[in-house]
Amino acid sequence: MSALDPRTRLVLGLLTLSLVLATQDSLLLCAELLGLLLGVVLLGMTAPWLKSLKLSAPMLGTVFLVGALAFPLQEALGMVLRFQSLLLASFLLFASLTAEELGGALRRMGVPHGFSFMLVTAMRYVPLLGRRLRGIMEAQRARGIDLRPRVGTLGNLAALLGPFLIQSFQLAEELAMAMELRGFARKERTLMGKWRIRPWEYGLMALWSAMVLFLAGFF
Amino acid sequence: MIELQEVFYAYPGSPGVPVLDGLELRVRPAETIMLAGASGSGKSTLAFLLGGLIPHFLGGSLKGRALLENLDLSLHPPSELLSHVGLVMQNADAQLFNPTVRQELAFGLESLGLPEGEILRRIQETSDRFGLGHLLGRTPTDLSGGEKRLVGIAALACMPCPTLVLDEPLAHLDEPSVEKVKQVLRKIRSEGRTILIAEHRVQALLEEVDRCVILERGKVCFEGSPRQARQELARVGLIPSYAAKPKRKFAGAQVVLEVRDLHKSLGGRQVLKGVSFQLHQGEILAVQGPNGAGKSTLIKHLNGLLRPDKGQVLLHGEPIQGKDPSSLACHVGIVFQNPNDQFFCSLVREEILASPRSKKFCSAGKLESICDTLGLGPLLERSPYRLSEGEKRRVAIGSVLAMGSPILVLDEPTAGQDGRSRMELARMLYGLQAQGTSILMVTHDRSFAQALADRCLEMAEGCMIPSAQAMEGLAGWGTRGG
Repeated sequence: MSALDPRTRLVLGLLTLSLVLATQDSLLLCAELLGLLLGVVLLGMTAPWLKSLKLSAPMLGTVFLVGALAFPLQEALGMVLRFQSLLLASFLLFASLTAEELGGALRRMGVPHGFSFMLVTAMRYVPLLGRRLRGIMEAQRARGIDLRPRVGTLGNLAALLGPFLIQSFQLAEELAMAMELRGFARKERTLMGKWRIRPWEYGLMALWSAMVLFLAGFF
Repeated sequence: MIELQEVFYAYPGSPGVPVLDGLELRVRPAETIMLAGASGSGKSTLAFLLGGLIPHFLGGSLKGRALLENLDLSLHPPSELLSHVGLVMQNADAQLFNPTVRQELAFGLESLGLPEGEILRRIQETSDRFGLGHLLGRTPTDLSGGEKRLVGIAALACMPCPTLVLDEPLAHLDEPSVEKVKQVLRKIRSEGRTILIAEHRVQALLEEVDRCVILERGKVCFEGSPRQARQELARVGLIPSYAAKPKRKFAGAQVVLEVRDLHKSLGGRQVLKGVSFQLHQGEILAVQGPNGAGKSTLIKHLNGLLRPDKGQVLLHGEPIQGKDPSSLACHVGIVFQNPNDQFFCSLVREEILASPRSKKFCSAGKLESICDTLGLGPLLERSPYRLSEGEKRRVAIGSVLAMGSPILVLDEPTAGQDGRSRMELARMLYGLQAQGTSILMVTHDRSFAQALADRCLEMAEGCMIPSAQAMEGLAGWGTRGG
């Protein structure tokens, strides 16, 4: 996968998402899901994907439940298949691109530096904010504030959200200051690294695009 | 050359409260200066001014003459000062905002528009010089506190700016990391650059600077050589001197908390490897050790925030297993490193009473007693967010003690505290001990631990290790009593 230019990986990932959205036939959806699973195995990402299932399983269950209540069973299964395929395609996209590559790809594709940098930075700070939230939760529980998810403790959520919001705003301000100090606002920025999309990568992208258009009924 | 004449500055929102109040300072090229001062004395504000954040980013009202290499700081925003001055801020999580260390070093150089070859050469030189080569591909958020600090400094050192300003580069660092930062500072100093370091841990840096400047309420109250400064820093309480405390004998005293053979793995790494110790009634016990030794993980087991893989925690002889941390807060109160993690009320009074109120018990007598012990009376009607770091720490301790817990656990109590706050904290902990509170503190502040603790334990790589000091503590039982 790393043999491909990051831009190719980004485009292929987005096209795969479109492919899943454009597919109507259940058998084809199954085939796409199997293909994506094969991709996960071939890229050696089985363990992290299985770990991510812990988070996605409740969502898939909810989608199935809502689908089964509102539509015939086959349609509900189709919804679950599509949702799982979308999750898998997104997982593969982000697992195959580092934040550095994603930022570089967006910038080289003409997305303004400010926007692409902020997008990548926001993604990077999500785990940090998660750690801060855990720290706040531990500090509040250690002083006796019950934060277990119960009706009687709903009012105590202010003890979690208050410090979290304030610290997030402070971090955002300090981050903006740090970026300003390092010349983020300057115009004459150097673009590092020479990236090249080889002809066969263009071919791959064309093939993928044709498949999406075909499934979307353009041919 | 830096030249500040009659500089006044007030933050927006507090126009009548000048943080810099007629500041006068001249810094010669290639000079290394330490800026000392209590919390709120204006050190960080001065750093922001020199970095160009004041007034261009933070606003506020700036008066007086502030020149850096003959550039008027009131006219040049940070982006225009990039090749003249670099500022490393206190918060490493905000300072390092790139996906990799390599990009972190490259960011400022890219902003200057330098050719790619020049950028790569500077990154290579800097990483070789500071020994950061093995970190170049790593994500900054995954680095240790000391590594983050080194990368932050290196990211500025690879820039062609002749002046560097560092805001608390030693905050939260253990002794080995402090040594590494000092080595890096020596290398930068040998390049003939001007360095200004705002720092609370003044003793660690005194020998590394040419001159020490002490700020008090936004003014320079002392300038002099490190030798002269040492006396002055001690006189004004910025080098703490703790009252001599007789070590008490606890052998045979009631054990209030016991940890037996605690094991814990986190993220595939074994963080605790069979830790055991006892805390006695009315004892102050210090657990020392470098960052990453497992100290913070250990204390999270003491009130059930973490469950051990093996071993147990006994409170008055009863295992705490299966109990919720919030229900154990009446027995063991833990104050974590960052007081801001606790604050969510608009007034200190509300903050202290928040936990008892959530448990539907609250007594005015308790509030009074806490205020007396911690000296919180004058702060009750103030916002906890607007307090100094020392005051915040006391409020955080008060809010934990409000649950009536007879055991107090402190995680790095002196982190980010100036000398005066540390002495105040020590006095307060003596007072709590006199009232019968048992105190366990984990810290890498050795002088604080040695001054206060009746007994010191040493942790390294998840184990309690026998150390000279710990042995001395054990051997000294009964012989040091006073």
